[in-house]
Amino acid sequence: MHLQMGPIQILLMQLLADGSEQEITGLTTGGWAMMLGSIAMVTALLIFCIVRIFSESKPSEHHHAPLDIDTGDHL
Amino acid sequence: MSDPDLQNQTKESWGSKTGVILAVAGSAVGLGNFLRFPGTAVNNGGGAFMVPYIISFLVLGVPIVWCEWTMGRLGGRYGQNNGAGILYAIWRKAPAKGVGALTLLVPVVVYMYYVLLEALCLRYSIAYFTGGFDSHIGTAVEGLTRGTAEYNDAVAGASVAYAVEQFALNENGAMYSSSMFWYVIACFLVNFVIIYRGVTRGIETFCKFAMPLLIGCAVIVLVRVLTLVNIGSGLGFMWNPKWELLKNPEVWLRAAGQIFFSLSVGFGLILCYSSYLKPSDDVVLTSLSASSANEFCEVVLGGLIVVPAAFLFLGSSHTPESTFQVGFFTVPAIMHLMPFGGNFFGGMWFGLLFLAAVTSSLSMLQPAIAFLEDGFGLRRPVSVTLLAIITAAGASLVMYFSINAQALDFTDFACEFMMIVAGLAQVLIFGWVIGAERGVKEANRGSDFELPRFMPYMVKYVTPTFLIAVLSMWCYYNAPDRIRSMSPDFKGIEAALVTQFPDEFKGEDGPKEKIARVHEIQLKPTAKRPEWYTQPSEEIKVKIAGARLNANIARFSIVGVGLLFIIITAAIDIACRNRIGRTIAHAEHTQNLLEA
Repeated sequence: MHLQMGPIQILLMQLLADGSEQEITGLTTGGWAMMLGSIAMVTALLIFCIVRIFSESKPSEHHHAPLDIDTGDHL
Repeated sequence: MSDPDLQNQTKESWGSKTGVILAVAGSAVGLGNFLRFPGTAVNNGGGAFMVPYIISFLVLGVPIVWCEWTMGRLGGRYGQNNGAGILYAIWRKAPAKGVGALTLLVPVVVYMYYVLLEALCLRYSIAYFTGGFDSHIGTAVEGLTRGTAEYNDAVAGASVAYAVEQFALNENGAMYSSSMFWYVIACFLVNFVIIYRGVTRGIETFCKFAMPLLIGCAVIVLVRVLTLVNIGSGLGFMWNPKWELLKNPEVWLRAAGQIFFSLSVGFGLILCYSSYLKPSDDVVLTSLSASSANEFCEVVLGGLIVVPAAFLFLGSSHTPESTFQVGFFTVPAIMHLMPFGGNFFGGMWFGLLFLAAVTSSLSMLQPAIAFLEDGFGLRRPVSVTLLAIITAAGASLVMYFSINAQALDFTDFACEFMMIVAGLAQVLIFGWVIGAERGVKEANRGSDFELPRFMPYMVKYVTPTFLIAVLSMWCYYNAPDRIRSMSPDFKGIEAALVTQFPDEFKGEDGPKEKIARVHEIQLKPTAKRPEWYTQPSEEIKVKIAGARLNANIARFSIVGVGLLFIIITAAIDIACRNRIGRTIAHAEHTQNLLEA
């Protein structure tokens, strides 16, 4: 087995070394704003889409084929 | 026009709108959402990363998704369910075949390594539920007290060692003799059995069950993480914005890249899936729903689980950007360190990753299956068997060359490049070949709501410009290093240099100095090169041989992908001249008759 000094080993050394750890005590005001803002945005978009989909008339599902054919007959 | 073969074709289609949304969301939601996004965000500005990320989503992601869905549905009207046929139906010119080749090649090649990661997720999930991972860690932490820094470091080290052993990162070919081999076989079987059952009975049915289960599991793990003591510090590490990093163009590139790869655009998957829609089915709301489901999984579930927990247990140095490192070095350690039910949550976490990976890998197989059927009239058992043989051959090579995941890494690099090129080409085809106004009109047909009025300008000018900038920056930041990595001479000298002078290149400018020194030695004739390189010690000799082998694997991977591209382009050319061309003509003829 050839043990090379690849990225895996370098990372392993980094993991086990006493690196310069960041001291973070909690969320700052900016952190709260970005976290809640991002979550609110994607959740609102998802809810908007779900509401639009389920507010559509039900019969549209499974009932395509006959309606898709435009025979050109307009009586 | 009375080709009986064409007239007997039965066209598959989605069973319901919910089914297609879950299938497309399932194809987009993968390991990248849960592992790549948090690593990328925390290393590129934390909360501030969301600014370029959201801009990229609106300017790049959503318009491309709309373009691809519209072109896919349009191609479906011509009887085409594969990217190559769809693009050829839209643009009957030779370049369309080249772009079409990318939409078939990328998913197949990505599948060749993605299936290994899928197998690894399954392996970890079972190891957590059966206690196998615990017993591995147990020997590493013997005599240490739980909760101490030494204990956590030992767990982190053992977690890395476990991943190295499972993925055979230190020895080529070792995966064949380990249990991982059988997990890969199991994943192949699962994927191909589902894909054999077809779009509605296979993919749609599976995604309808897998997606809610996946989100349910993720919510359970999320609740556990958010109820950890002092989780606020972890959330702060992930979300506190570092605004100054927004001046760095690389951060903007990372955000655009994350959106691009996360939404699975440029892949050909969306083209394929949307081609199974009916001509009057909505694409605007359906595609936005699939994209928003993907974003929810990424930002809410991905952004709140891994990095906050990793910071809490292991500190700030354990959140690398690489998906593989986050997923298989860091996460297993934090799941083990999690008090009260770590094994259960670990098993559930990797189980949900496995489901996410399966839904994604199914979407990687379907475009090629559709091409074999549309292009050559193969029946499903034949097309599935043929694709299984092709992907198994590729995956076996990636499995064999597993040292430092070199083959996987370089194949991934080539695919990223091809995806951006294919994405750019598709937007240009939509904006300039179909015509932006005509394209938007086509998108609005049957839609739940109409696209904004500025969309034609967006897809014609803004999105392509943004994509060209992304492609240029991507090449600028990645190409030089990758090209150097493919040079056995450069890598050999570099390995010898680092071994000979282990403390010399550790500073901030270390990497640049190292490259300059290697180039300096490269320029010298062999006789004048340093003695430690020309007459190396045993240790250096091993390092040089290993580094040269890695460089050759990288070359081989790139050449292999290039050869596949040529073969697929030739196959597309043959199919377009024959069956695909006839099917398109037949569809046009039928539509003309209906209109007459």
